[in-house]
Amino acid sequence: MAGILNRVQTVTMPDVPELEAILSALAVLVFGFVVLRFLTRMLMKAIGRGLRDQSRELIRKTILYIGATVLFVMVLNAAGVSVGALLGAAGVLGIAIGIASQASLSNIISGLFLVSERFFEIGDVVTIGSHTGTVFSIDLLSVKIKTFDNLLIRVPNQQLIEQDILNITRFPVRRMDFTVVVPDTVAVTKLLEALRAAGDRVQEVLEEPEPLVMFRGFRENGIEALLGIWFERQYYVTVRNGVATALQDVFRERNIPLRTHAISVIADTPRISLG
Amino acid sequence: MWGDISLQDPGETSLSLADLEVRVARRHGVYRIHLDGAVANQLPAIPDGWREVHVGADTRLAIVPATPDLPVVLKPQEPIAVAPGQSVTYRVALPVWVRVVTLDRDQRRGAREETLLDLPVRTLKRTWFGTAEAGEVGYGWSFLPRAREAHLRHRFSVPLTVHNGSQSVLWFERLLLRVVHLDIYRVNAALESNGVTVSFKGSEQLSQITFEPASSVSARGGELLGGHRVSTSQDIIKRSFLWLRDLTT
Repeated sequence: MAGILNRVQTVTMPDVPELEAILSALAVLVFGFVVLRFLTRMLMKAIGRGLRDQSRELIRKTILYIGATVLFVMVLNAAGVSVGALLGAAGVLGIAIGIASQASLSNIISGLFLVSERFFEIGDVVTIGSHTGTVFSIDLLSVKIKTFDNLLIRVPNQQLIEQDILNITRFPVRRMDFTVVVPDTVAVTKLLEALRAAGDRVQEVLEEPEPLVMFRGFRENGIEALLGIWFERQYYVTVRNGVATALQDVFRERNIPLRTHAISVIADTPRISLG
Repeated sequence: MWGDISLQDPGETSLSLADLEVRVARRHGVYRIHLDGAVANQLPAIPDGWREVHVGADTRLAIVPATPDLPVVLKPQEPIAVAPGQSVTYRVALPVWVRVVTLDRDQRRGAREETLLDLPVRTLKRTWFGTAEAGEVGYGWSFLPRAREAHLRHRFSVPLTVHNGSQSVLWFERLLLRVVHLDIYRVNAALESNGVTVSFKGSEQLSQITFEPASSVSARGGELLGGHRVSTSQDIIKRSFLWLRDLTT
């Protein structure tokens, strides 16, 4: 019976030096984790003030990853694992992973360029390729765009570097253009006055910078003119709807017919109208 | 017109100023507010037009005047030039805002005041003060510098002093008046804010803006009706002047 117990103890209980190593590794892990969290927080407080969200997040992650790697080596060392041999193997493995993950490295480097270029920030509305939406996050490998219909799109940083990006909300105010065509029997001055009046009717249209009202030319179907109004970026929809409504109202009140793309074919008998 | 609404139950009172009419009714201990006029027409429509307000039994309501909720970009209708070292004072009349607020148990306006309604008596156009890259939004307002405007119930006047402390002539084309820091007083039956002094230091420098202290307005018989929207010290340094060339470049 005693022999059996001895054998069970031999099987289940590790040697005292092994136990010590495991305990000390655990202690290093717990202590190191706490220190790492504390150091990250302190460093972020010290250097993160005044930085943009994405830069702060990038620095935080970099500190965290480097710290985690150092902690991992320290834990292995405390556990009695030969770190030298492991580092040698890790070097070989690193080369293999590096070759296999060229695209990821390229994305990381592209990401660094993007962050340093500061072309957009989290919360900006951007158009990338065929996608338009709000910048949701800027990560090491990709940028996530949240579209207006609530979809999340991941765009790899390498792709972003290579294509045109349109930042719609970079500046606090922007211009919106409305082009109208009226019959050439309408006086140009009357047309331009009507455009000014339409812009003036919408409260969200800014008085200054002044709206751009411009004659653009005589076209096949009449006179073309432009109304370019300035507005604060958050009123995009209000202004777009408001000015369109005001244009219709003002032109109707002043008996100025607006040309549309409707085609009318008029025959003697019978009359056919296609709209 | 301004102040505590002492309503019987049932009872009703109203205030009509320019493009806004406010009716406050009380029935079975519940206050109801109805809005009318051009300003109210721009708000989301309500089926019967009444908004219910449930407040404590000890709480009462007051109608108080307020300044616009954004800075005002003043544009004189006549060009003004101020020589170096000189000062000029105008009284600028601006549309007042109407606020319906709760009064605390002591019937005094103070820290426990809650705003239930905050509307202008006429709709003001928004404008931009700055360049296309950076600036501030405000309401546009043009004024005749020497006009003796009739006393209007729906306006409050701001005693504005512009001092040219630079070495060059100040061409006063646009001035950003930060009305959100101003209180509104009743002085000789008219609405008036505390005075503002804007000291121009040079085109490349920020201007020093000084607000007249409350004690000074009280000394000339002012009775406080509506407090400021945004607190500030008596002195702030901000950009206040803008020229046409800034807007076009």
